[in-house]
Amino acid sequence: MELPPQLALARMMSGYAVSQLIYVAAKLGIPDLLKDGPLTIDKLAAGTNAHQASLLRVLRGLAAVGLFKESSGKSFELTPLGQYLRTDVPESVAPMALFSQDSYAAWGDLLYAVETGEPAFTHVFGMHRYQYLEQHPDAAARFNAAMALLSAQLRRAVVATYDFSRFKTAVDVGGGQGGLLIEILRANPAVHGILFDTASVANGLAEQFEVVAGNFFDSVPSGGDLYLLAHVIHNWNDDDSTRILRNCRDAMTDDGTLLIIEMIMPDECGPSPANYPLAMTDLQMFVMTGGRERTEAEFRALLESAGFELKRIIRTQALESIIECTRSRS
Amino acid sequence: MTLRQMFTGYWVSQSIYAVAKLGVADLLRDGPQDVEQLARTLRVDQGALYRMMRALASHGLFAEDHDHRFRLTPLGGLLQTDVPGSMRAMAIWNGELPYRAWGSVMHTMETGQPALKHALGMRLFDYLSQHPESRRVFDEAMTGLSMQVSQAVVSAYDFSGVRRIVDVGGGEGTLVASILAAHDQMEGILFDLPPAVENARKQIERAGLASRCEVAGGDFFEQVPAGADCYILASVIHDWDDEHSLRILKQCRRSMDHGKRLLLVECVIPDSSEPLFSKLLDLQMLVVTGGRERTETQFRDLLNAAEFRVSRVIQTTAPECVIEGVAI
Repeated sequence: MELPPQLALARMMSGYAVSQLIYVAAKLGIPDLLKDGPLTIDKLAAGTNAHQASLLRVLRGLAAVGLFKESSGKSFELTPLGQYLRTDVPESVAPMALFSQDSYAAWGDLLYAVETGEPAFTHVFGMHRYQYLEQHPDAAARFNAAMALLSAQLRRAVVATYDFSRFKTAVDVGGGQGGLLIEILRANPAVHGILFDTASVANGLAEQFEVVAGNFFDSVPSGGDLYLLAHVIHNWNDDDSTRILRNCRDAMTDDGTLLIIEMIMPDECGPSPANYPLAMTDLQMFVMTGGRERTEAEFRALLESAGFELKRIIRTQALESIIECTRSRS
Repeated sequence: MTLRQMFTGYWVSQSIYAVAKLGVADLLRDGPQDVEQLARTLRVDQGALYRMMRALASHGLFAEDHDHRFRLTPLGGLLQTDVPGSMRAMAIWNGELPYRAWGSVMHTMETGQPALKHALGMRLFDYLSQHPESRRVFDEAMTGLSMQVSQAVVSAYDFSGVRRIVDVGGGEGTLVASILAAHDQMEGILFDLPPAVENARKQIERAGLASRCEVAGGDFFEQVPAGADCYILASVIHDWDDEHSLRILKQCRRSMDHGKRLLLVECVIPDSSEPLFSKLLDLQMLVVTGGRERTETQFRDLLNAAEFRVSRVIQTTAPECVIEGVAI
């Protein structure tokens, strides 16, 4: 169903209001209150301590975009789409909705970022995103929860696509909470894993698994025959990315493999729903960290400058691809 | 639309704001340009501009030819300054104060007060009178909207018999100019805050209506020009809560004789659970101005309280209706 251009543009222009309405619903915990069925506005306001008349208008707005349904007597229920905002469902997007609180203000400064080429987040908050996360545990928790959700979909796709059984030691560089590595180890009992990140916590699989804290700009644990960089390189500009890649190269065995797991930007972004998440996530990286999503040609150039050869690109069922690399001969 | 697109909608809104503010669409008016040239003209970071335009191309606002060359699409064309139905001013308005206000939306949920007041430390119209640049952005956006609404009002409502009309809170005067242009015996008064009417004076002169349209500066909470036979309030009442709305309506009533007409041009939302896009406009009022969109019953109650009787509600071809009240 194609909207007339004016209506289509008006909706995109007011998209921020819809984003914030979803944030309000998630923040107040309304989707969870509705998990057993409809509730009246009185009950919802009492259960959330929200201003009732304002809450009614917000819920009607969310009904207008198809997330809630209002029935007689000012009572509201979740639509099938709205169910995903519950925290207790498998594909819950609630953590993503709550995470928007952290990037909304940064996006308010997009114009500055385009004028200067500098990340808006740093301009708004006075420090780099990663420094901010270290100083604000609440924001770090929201970030980790949102990323864990993303990687749940991703890690299933990666493990289903790539054969890890030939490796002895897998080092997940910048592996966060270890979700991807755990999934790989679970599916490949003979592989030993090292989770390397700044100060994250992993649990379970103790026999197969060790956790090493450190900074990948200094060095990464050596001796692995598999190095994973999943959703890491897109956080950094080319210079920083090259440093991370070189440290991986120095640490790995001569015949080792590096897998980079990232989205790959098409060379041109036509008006296709398939391109939205790629091109928009690229801007999100720019706004938040100064990082970027890259085209295949950009990955090739980056890898070459860091002493790697790109062997093949394997598409997964997720948006991300697996980029398989080995050390260059030289 | 997917859920993910909905909760990242602000990414797209701000990208549209940035290209609108920079005036990218105007630069592409005469044909495609490569991003290097655009970045040089606009004095912005080339790589960043490319990525933003690529993102908007994925949403159909631009089309990317080879070698980082972009051209306008019908969608992006609406961001040019001087085209019929231009939405550039509205895109700029949305990306500034309303965007900031929505960042504090939890304040509204806790207090019922407009989040904008929390974000800026004062109410919208106080802020606008102290910040001329924001005032200009607001007026331009509203003028863009009222160009579309004005023609619809002129076609839908029979103004014959009206000799003198006052457009209360008429901004830059688009509506009164359209009405006067269609009725060459009618005289008009455009009434708004002093800074707003200065721009209006120029518009009225440009439209060749200076001899029939007076421009008066003032505050509609204090006094409204007297003695006309028709008063019109277009998209004014929805900016205010019931208490303030009533004060405005009572000031109009004080200036009017018995039997004279008051016209409200507003969206009328149905008192039902229908999911309608107009309910999102109500939330802009909640968060930005502290006003609201109203049902027909709510308009009737409000007008009755100010000593008007609602005689007709006429749907125009625009989303807005004309609500006709008669002074009793």
